[in-house]
Amino acid sequence: MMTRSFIIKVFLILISCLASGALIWSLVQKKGTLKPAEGIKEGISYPLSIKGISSSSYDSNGRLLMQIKADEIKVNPRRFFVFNIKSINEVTITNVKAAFYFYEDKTQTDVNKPQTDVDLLKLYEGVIHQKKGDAVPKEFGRITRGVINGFTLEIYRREKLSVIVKANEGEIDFRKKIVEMKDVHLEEVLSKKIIKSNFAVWDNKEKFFKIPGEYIAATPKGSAKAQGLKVDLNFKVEKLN
Amino acid sequence: MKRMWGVKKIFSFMFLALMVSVLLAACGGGGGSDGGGGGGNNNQIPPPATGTISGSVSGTTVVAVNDAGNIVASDDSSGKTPDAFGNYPFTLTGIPTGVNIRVFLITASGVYPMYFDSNDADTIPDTNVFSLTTAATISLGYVNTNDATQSGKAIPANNPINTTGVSSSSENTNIPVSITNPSPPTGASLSQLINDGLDALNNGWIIKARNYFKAAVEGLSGGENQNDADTSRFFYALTRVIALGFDNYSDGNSTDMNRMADILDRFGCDTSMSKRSNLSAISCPDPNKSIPVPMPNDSPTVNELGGFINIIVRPEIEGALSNLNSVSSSFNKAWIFDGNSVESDYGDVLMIRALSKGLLANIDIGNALNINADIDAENNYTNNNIQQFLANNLNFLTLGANPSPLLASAKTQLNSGLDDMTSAINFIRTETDSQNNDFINLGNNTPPEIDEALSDIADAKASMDGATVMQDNDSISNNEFILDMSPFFGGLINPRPLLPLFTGNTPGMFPDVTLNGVLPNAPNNNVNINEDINPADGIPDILQ
Repeated sequence: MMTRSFIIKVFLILISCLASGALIWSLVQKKGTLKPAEGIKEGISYPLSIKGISSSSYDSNGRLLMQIKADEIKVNPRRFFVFNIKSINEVTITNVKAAFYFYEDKTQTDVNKPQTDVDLLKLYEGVIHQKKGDAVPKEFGRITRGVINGFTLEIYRREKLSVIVKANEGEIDFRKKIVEMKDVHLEEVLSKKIIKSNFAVWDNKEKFFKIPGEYIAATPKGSAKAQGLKVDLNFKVEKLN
Repeated sequence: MKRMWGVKKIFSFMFLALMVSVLLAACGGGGGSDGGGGGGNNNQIPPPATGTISGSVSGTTVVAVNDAGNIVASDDSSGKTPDAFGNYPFTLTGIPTGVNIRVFLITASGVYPMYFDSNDADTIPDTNVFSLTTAATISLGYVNTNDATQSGKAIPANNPINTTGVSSSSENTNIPVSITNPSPPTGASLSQLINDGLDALNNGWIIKARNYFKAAVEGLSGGENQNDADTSRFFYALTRVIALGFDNYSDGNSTDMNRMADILDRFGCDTSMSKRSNLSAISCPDPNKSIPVPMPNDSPTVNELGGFINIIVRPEIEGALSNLNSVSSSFNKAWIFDGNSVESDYGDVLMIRALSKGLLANIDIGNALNINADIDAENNYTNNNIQQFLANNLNFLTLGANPSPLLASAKTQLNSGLDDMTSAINFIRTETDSQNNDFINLGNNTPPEIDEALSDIADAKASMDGATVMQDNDSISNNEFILDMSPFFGGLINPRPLLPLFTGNTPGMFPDVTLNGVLPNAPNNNVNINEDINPADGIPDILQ
């Protein structure tokens, strides 16, 4: 099925690409993708910059439920070609590593339940928002997107590593609560099943990865290419229509 | 491959102008006050008792209106000091007793009526109307516009009816014109119009800002302070186009296409005022939801949307350009954007002029091509895909009947816009005052990076006239390539045959890697739109 967003892409991308894309291309083709504002140099002040940040939560028995670390999280100006617009900013998170732990019991962390507790926006929410549901503090300006450079997600079940997800880059859409990731590697450790794709989308509400394009699925017995897949954190896969 | 890798960025950048407009529109914060107070008068009769409403917000205008729709009190967060949670206090004074009162929060994303539980029993916010029987003081606490369970409503921490002397009434979903389309007071001075317009802009009350700046411009007689006149023209230009996107209240006519609200009507979006008051409240049919709701069969086609753009949007952009052309190079105005102090000057004028011309060029290009499609039919067809879509629309992306004048106009606009962009960069880089507060600035770019941008713009301009070496100043690798946009702007390129073949949603290779001469030296190491190495799967990497 062609989704509405895909229709929009057809309208907007094709028209604009073929009409004036090459012209603009010449302006931006050297600027790369998903990079935070280039030209930001050491020594300048950001509305927020925290290095070596870590956040953990535990259950009532003192067991680790979640740990998110990042080398740095900062709010920096978003760049439009060579321009910045005052107060139009983005959040850049560098080398984020998130781990979620599920145990064999009847609590919400039950290993057998869908992993509804996995919230990849938790670090952002915790640092940027002062209260749940609150607006962003004014000094942070208008945060228009999040940029992730280096991403690792680990799911532990019964204290053993169960699922690993890695991506080189990501872009967070805070309104849709999705993370678009590039060069994605999903692995179920025990079965050694691996799914690789150039592009995947983490849906933070539905709690699954969506791979709209091509992916390579590999098992110890062999590998195959296909298109369109949904993968949840139990590594349950479903054809993406 | 590096340049292929940047394609998504390129696509995004092509909508820079639109994005910036939206981002500007998304400004929020505090500021603005107007409307009558409910306070005293000058006659001999003692003024009636009035009440007070206080609370805190994350940054917005708060107004109280009576049954007649008149604003009886207002406050905003301009100049206020936030509390420990970053929230701003507000106080509405002079609230009349014995009349129905509604409170609205006006933010960047729209108007949020304040709701509360009428019986304070089931915690369901079911009404937005209350009245004071005595001169009560109501403390609402924090009023939240981001309550996920009450989308589109503002919810106070404290129920107002818990205050002695306050009672609830039945819900009133109407939003008065004093909020949806406020007019400036008769006889307002130029400085009052400017100050209130800037406050409204800071709050995201775009329609009000537009109306006030429009009145300011229309009232100019030539004898004003030059900077006041420039300020009026600049901010009217800035708000008059953006305001089109905030005109969302239905007029009840489900056939016309004169306002943004009409487009929402045609797409079958809920027409009630409370469902049009802010972005989170707008609700439209969506065939792609988990429970699909088909779009109405008479939803606008692409051509109808194009008509709206040509008839309604384009004149506003041209009007904005006319306003900007009248702003002097000495223009300089400090204002508040998103709660932060910013300064606008002639560099902003040049840059917004460039963006406006880019928009006009895009409209011309859209007019030069056949891009019509039946949006509802394509969306409601559940098994649709790109192959099917292209088969359904055989003329899609072909040249229109008489494209040459339109493409020539587009080229003229782009040329002029790129000149303005160059001038903007040069103006900003030669400014001697601090750039920390400048609305549009060059950030922390080094002189070589700025020179590279200027060079890129010059190359882009030249490519519209003929084959141009797109220079590469990247120190890592040599990525120069040749671009020739002249065949396209000469109306010699029909885009449709250049599309790759699609099987379902899967593209094949481009049939012509030169794009009919636009990339005359392709394929080579620097530009090959059919490059297929990551992964090598028969799909051009550019379309992965």
